[in-house]
Amino acid sequence: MRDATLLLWRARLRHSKLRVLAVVVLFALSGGITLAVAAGARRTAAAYEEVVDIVNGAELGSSYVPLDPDESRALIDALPAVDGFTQLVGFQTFLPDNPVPGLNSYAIYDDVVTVDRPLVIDGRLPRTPDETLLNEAAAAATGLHVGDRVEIVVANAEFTDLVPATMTVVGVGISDVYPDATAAFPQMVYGKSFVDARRDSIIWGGVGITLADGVSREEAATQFLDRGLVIDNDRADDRSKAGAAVRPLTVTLWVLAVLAGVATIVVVGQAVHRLVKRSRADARSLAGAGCSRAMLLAADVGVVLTVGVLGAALAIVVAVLASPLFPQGRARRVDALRGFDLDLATLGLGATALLVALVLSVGVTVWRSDRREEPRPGSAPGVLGRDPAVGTGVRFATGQRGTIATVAGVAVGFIAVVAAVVFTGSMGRLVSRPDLAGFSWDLVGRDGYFPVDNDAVDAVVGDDPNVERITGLSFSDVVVDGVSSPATVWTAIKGSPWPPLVDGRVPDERNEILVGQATLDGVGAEIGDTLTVVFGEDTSETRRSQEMTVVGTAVSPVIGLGGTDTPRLDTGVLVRADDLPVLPPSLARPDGFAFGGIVLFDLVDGADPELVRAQFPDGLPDGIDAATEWFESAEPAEVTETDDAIDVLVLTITALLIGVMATVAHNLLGFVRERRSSFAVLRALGFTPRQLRSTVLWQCGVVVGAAIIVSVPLGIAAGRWLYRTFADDIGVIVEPVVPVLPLALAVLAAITLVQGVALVPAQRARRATAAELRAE
Amino acid sequence: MVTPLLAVDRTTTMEAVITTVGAEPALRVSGLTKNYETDRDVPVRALRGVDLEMSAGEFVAVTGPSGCGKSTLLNTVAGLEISDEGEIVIAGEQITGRGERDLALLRRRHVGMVFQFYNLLDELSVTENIALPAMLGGRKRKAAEARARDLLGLLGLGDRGKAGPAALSGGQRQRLAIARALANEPTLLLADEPTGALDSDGSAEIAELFQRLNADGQTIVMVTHDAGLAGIAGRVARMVDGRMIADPCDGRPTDRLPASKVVIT
Repeated sequence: MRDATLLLWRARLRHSKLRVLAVVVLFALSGGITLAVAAGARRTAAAYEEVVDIVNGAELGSSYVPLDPDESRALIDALPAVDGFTQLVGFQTFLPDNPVPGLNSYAIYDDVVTVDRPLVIDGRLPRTPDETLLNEAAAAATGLHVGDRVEIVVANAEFTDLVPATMTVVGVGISDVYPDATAAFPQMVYGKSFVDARRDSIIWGGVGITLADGVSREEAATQFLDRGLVIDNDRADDRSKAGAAVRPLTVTLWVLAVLAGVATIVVVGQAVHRLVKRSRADARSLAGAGCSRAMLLAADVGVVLTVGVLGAALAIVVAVLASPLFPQGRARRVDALRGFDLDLATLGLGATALLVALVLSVGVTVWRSDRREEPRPGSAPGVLGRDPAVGTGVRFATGQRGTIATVAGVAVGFIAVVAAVVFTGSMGRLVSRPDLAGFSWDLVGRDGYFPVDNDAVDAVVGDDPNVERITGLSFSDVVVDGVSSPATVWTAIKGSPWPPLVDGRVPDERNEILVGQATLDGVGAEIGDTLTVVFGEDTSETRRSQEMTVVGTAVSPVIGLGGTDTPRLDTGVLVRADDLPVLPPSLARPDGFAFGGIVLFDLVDGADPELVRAQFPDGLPDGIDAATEWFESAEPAEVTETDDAIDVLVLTITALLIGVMATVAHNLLGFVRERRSSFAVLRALGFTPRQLRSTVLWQCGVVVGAAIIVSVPLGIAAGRWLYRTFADDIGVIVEPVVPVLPLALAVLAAITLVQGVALVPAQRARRATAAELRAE
Repeated sequence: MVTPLLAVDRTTTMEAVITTVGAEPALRVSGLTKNYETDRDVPVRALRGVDLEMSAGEFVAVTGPSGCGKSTLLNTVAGLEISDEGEIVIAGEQITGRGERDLALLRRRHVGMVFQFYNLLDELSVTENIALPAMLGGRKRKAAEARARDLLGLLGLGDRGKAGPAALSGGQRQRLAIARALANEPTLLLADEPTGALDSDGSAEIAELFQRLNADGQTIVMVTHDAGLAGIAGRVARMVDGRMIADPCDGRPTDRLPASKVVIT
């Protein structure tokens, strides 16, 4: 019996070897896309982790260690809580020929860096006193490259000693992993020998540490305090933010992988089903020869497994060949993380999952493959009434019971593609509409922690017809119903100051606030509720509590200050400057409950931001001539990371469309092939060659048309839901878009491809032979 | 009284049919040759110079062993196969040398085919299986459906119009196939082993039907290996190895005649 089963299996493969090969290739193509994107998602997340481990490997940090690096080294080394550490030594550096506002410069006081360091993407770390590495922001701001020389001035803390030097740029690297557009602080990094040559110019000392086994953060903080040191930075927050920045991208990739996988299983499953389907005559003949149903089933399962195993193996090859497309996002800039990759775990598990799903999806039909499904007469009256070829084609499509499965399979493939197009289109809109991420201005001037004289700003540009709105922005820390939250303080210099609303209205009376939706959810409140907002929680004397009413939710622009948490997107509390508590003069806080100086300018359409910038040649007026950083974008890291990958997302969708269409076309060929005796009958009845071709085209057209009618709205709904979930997760305003033109092109491409493929069986139908008429 | 099957269309009478085609043979086949290419060097010679001539209203049965070329002859007459040599004329119209489209149009007018395994279209209802060729023949939908209903009524399938062919018995399916073949009142009714898939009752039913059709003036060429069925025909021609051998007078097959071309008139 085993030999007979093997004979049946081999015979089936031999008889249909070209079709078997075609299905194997189709499975490899669609399955390969699935595995490539899944492995790419995992690789992107892993690459990001690797970058974070290198750049942000510390667990805790302190910016207040002794300035003498040897002294601080001895102190830190002696702490039992510390396993490893990177010691940083800060300087004040200026570039006289190429001023860079906000430039931060420090040296790594280690010959061998063990905890965290810049991740070099070009060149190397500095070794000698005249070498420096720039981070990406500094390289972009200065236009310098590896090998360039740059004049610098190193100033001491009092600015009494200014020492010029000529440095060589030996490297460019990634020094932070939270790349909001406004959080990319330019940095120059030096080596240990730079410190040894300039000890008199040190202005701050910092350290990043990793904890010894079993030591908690609290224990470490206590040990630091016992030695007069303060831990002011929990790097876990930075790692969490970095993970949040890349999560939308990896989630998008996983979603695409799942969509591709589902489409693969359904569409390729139909193709495999056609391979094993057996006519009633064949089934009777085999039964008459003594073959049991179990034998036939075993032989059929053998065919399915043959196709599945070969296809899955080739899919792995396809995925490996596509692996250089990943990782995506910022981690892609690191040479060492690119190139071919063999993720055995993901590819192996994924290929196995595809194979199992394929066998299961075909399993039921394999069990029934010895029964021919009786077609039913079409129920559409009068369809034959016009061109008989049209009516016959429609009836062939609708009268076959397998049509529903075929349409469903085609529809699933289309749904996946349409959903992916809608999602990507909505992502593109998010990138092109910064107001959806809370930034409804054209220019930002940031003076760091120094407050800006808003009246002076108004005096300079308030009457400028190019300027529609001017908003003053600073920051605060509040406690809302017992929950700590960062806050932004808004001053209306000209026009309405508020960022885009999600719901409700803007505050127009005292003690009314806007809140980010995530913050509102965190305190369990709704619009209309009154919350207790405490300002100045850090000191008991100046602590003030106010009852404030939530009148709306808004999306805050992503404009931060280094070293402090600020509201972003759907987090934070938005307070009017006029609503800040007023303290008696004896208790006046230096910061007045708010810190930082930022001014936002909204210009008339088409106005050049340079026109405004030029009116502040020495920066924004702040009384101390602090350098002003200017930005024309406040793109969140989540959007940047996903935007960087748009090309790969589009490529994946295109490959998915081609894979699905190729398999659909193959299925349609089989669909028509099953009707070959009917085409011979039509020819005998007097159908002309044109009518035979038309019958085939209409038969295929009905299937594809029905699938499109079903799949387009479902795909749009799925794409919008996916995007809504993505947008909600990162906190931007949800505004999914249906990209009509790309969608129309995708549908047109699908129809054209399928109808083009249908010409093949159409031509064969024209040559239907009389031999077909002799078969039962 | 036997109801004439061909008088269902009031505009057509049996006399008109016979009068119309009486001047020309209904079918004339001259020197028909058909070869099939195979994997081997020597082609299979399915027809070797076959001649056959029939007047309107004749009923010819073509018999012979399996593989002698009977079905090939039928398919070539119908224009479904292209001959290598020879000539086929149906009701004065030349078949040979025509393109595929012309052959399709000629089939609509002159040929009705009945197959051993019925070859009905399962996606169409019983009525639609007949209406389809009627529409191809130029009738509008309503007229085609009316024609179909008339034929179904006469063939005892009047109450099965909305059913699918799969719901019919073998004999009923073959009656439906015959009704379909008659949809356009063809010059020739070509039947290829019409009782091959039927039991004895079904076979008798079909045989009786063919006799009635021929009595009404339908020209029939029937291929069969069943000697009993062949006996209902007015003429019996025998083929062997692609050649025609026939007794033009009493219908008995004969081997005494030369194994070259023999013309039946």
